[in-house]
Amino acid sequence: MDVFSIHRPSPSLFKYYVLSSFVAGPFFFIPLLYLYFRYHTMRYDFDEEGISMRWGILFRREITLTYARIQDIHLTSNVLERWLGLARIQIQTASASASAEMTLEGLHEFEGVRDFLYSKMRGVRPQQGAAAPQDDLTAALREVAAALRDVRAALEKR
Amino acid sequence: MSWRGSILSLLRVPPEPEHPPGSPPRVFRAAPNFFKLRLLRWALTRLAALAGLLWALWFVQYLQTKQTPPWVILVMQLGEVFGWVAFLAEAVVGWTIVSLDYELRWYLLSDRAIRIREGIVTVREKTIALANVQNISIRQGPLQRALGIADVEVKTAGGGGTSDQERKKAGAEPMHVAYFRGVANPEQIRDLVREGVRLQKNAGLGDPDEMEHNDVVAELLREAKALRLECGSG
Repeated sequence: MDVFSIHRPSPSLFKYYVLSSFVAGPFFFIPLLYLYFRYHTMRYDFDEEGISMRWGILFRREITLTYARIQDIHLTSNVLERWLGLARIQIQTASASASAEMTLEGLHEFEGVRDFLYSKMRGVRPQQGAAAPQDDLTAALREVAAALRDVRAALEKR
Repeated sequence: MSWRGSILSLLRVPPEPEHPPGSPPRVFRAAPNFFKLRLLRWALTRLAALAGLLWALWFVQYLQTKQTPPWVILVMQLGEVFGWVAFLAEAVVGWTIVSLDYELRWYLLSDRAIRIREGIVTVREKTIALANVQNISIRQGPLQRALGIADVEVKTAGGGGTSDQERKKAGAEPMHVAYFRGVANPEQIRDLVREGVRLQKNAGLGDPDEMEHNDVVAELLREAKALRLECGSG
């Protein structure tokens, strides 16, 4: 599955928004209006470093986070969402808010996206990125030691 | 059993969760006493509802002895009928959901991550990388103690704002905590999680990596000291 090609939530999300706005009863049009614009302005961007998500028409909001700072990922779905084949991917970083930093909504391929994020996130990603500079440092220190040894040898000869 | 099957398919409850990243996980389950406790709690709420319905029944009778307009009585009686139907339906469905909630609950622990799947109406699947675990605690209330079960809490960094609004937004479930609810072997789970956390290369938040080149640094120091001695003698 190609995560980088995801830019828009699936149309099922709009169905879900319409249905869920009926919770407000006779005032359903108030959340519906908000959710209509939310759905139509919602954009996702996955790149090599992180995800950004934006929405809103009057009050615009854009969230960007790097994969390396993701701490835990939760998958939540209620009955309605499962009927529509959706689930929310709630992404946490180590910030102080009680709610998720970013909630990816309206993706049918939520399990694939979740697994992709796992392969990139903090603590799960293979450690070769961290190991390489360590080896460089060790090699550099060895060289310094060797240079010092040479200096001493040269001094001894004098 | 087909009754339960139809509830499962109606609610579209997904099957067993996928394995978390890392080695094949150990699977922990809630203890049977956890089910008893849940059942007890559910029965108590049913009793409370029953008491409410009976009181309403009595109240309608009471209103009839007073001079009340007949339409008020009618509305009350309709409400009463609706309440009883809802009560009976909930009695059957609720019992099934409580037992399903106990059965469809998985606590998976691999060498890299914890995955907790719970819930029937709202399905929640939490995954926490062991490298991000900050602390582990065990909680036990008096009833749980009597039944020999406890909850293990695994926390990661970050706050759980305690304001009601934030909690509501988060779905009444703190986001930085995963619970092994109602397990009979909390100490074993705690030790396994701790062991798993200990084995992570960079646990916690931004720990500097352990120096792996101590021997090289020692060699460097030895050389530098020898050099100084050489200069001193020369």
